[in-house]
Amino acid sequence: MSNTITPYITVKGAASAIEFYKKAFGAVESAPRYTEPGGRVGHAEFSIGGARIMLADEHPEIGVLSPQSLGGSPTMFHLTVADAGATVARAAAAGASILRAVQEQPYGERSGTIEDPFGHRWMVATHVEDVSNEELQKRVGDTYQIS
Amino acid sequence: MTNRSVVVSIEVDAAPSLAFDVFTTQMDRWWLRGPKHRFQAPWNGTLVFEPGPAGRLFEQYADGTAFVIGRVLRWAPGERIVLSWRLPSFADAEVTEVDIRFDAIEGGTRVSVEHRGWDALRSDHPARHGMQGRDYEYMKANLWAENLTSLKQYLVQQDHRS
Repeated sequence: MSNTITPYITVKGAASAIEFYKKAFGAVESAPRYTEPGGRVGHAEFSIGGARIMLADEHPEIGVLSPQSLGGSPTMFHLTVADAGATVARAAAAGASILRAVQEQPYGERSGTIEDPFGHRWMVATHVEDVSNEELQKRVGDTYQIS
Repeated sequence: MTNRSVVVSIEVDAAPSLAFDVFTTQMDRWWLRGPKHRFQAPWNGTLVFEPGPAGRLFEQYADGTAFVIGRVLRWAPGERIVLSWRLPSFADAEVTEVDIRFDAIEGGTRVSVEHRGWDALRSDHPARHGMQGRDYEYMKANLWAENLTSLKQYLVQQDHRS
């Protein structure tokens, strides 16, 4: 039996968030969008290279709040793309803030971290090489123990 | 008519004029089948959309009878259709309204359906299946979502064929 986990994010301004994810990540809106009376998006979905994410506007009356109302998010999305540098540049041009610039990481990725205009954080990564535990230990030295 | 409604929209990979034409002229092909989506027993009727400002939408049965779902209230080819919309359980005076828009987006069309006027139905109306307010609106929205998804897939298949 295989399970599927689909992130369901809350944003302030779901319609403009979808536009942002299209511009930044090449997302496509992949399912019907429900808009409530008054214009709140009750449900929408997009996909980035086949990976699905669901989203909705804030619904404070049922405790559904976005990072901007909660003061941050404890969760980050790790997004694998062909060219992390280009994707981060596109995201920044579309309004994201760069938290960590793209650089080579000792564990075999080129990656950087951004915060999108809706308060969600994304680690954008490109796979560079497979790194064994031994090799990683050599590279990071005593910084941390790998077991 | 009051304004409780849910708008369901979907992005399709076809120009507004094509989406509009397929929506209307091939409705029986893409609208889902069976008791959940078709209007009246024996659930094998054919959906017919008569085009034009005086057009009608009806389900035609093999025995020659038909159930009229609605009449065109506004007809803007390639852009918008407003229809009156009734179900077989509606009394004569009971009617809702369906507003369908075809908005050009990059690479295709956003098809949006606003189905409004549901709070004209009394709370124990059989069409509500015991649901009120937002629960009911979301049930109706789901039915539209399933059919719009079918329209989107149908447009993709047509595209591959041509």
